[in-house]
Amino acid sequence: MRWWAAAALPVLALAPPPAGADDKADALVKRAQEAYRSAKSLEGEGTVKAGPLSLAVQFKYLRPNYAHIRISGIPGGGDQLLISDGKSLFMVQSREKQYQKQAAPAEGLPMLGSSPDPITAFWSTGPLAGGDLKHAGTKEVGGRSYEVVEASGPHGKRTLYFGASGLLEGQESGGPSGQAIWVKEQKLDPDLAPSAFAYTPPAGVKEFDPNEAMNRSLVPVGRQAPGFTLPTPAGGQLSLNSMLKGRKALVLNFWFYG
Amino acid sequence: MKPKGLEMITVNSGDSKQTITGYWSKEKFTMPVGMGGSQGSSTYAIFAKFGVQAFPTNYVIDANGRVAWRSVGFDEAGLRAALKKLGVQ
Repeated sequence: MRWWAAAALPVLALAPPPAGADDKADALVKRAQEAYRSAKSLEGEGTVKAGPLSLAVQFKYLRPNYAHIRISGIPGGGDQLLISDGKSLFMVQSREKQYQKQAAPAEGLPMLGSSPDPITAFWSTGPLAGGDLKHAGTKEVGGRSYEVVEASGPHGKRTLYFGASGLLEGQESGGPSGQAIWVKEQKLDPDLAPSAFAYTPPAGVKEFDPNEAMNRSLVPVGRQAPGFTLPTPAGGQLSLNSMLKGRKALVLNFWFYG
Repeated sequence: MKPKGLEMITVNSGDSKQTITGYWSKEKFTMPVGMGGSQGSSTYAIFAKFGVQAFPTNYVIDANGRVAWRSVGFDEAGLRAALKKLGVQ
């Protein structure tokens, strides 16, 4: 797992299409899917709850490949940002003051699975929800009325909540690994220009260097190297200090043959 | 071919005298080898002192005995750049 992936949205693998479908449920899912698919941009904010984890997510998207996602509430503090300015994809961890950068895909976002949530629905080309779909009436949640669809498949049962606009606003799954994704504030086709996705890492936020991560246990640059004297295979002694005498530099190599 | 002003030494982990000398003569190496020994031996502390967790690990030490550069793995460009900074080409 990449260092920034810890707070990526939970993912549900797709189930094969059901036999004996429920027309009302299918219509709700299809309507939302088409709304997301035909939108050029999307913005919103919501929450992801999984066990003790409770994250706040803010996002804005513009096709073909502009994205700005902020995830906050990460244990340990700080925010995670995932930003595509159309050329590069930045993954920023504010607490660690570091970022990773890679070329942005020409279209869409990488790392998205097929979870039935607005973020995935906007980018994914797969169905919004799979498995056996069943309309389960209407339900009030937090003062709003929702059309409820139960989706059950090999990965368990999920409850999908479609708001008055027809968009998918909530998704819950039960059980010990239960999670809930709610995106009550979302807007299709907000007026967003590519310039809204421009990003320059702030001063003090450094590019994550995997080599430096490997080097973390080593004696820091500038520190006095620990002295040592070791036996040699020929029965002599090798000491760092005596080898350094009169030299500008010494390369010290640690190795084994095995 | 060692540049002027540069010393190269190595510290081995865990191999026997025979393995080391056999390898050295096969490769025609001449640089000094210190034997760090195996876990549990008194000399093995060297690896913890230098924070060595993977091999190869390379350090560049300057004339004053300070760490000028270090790297896990073999980063030839980085090593050359570090030596150049210390006036060794």
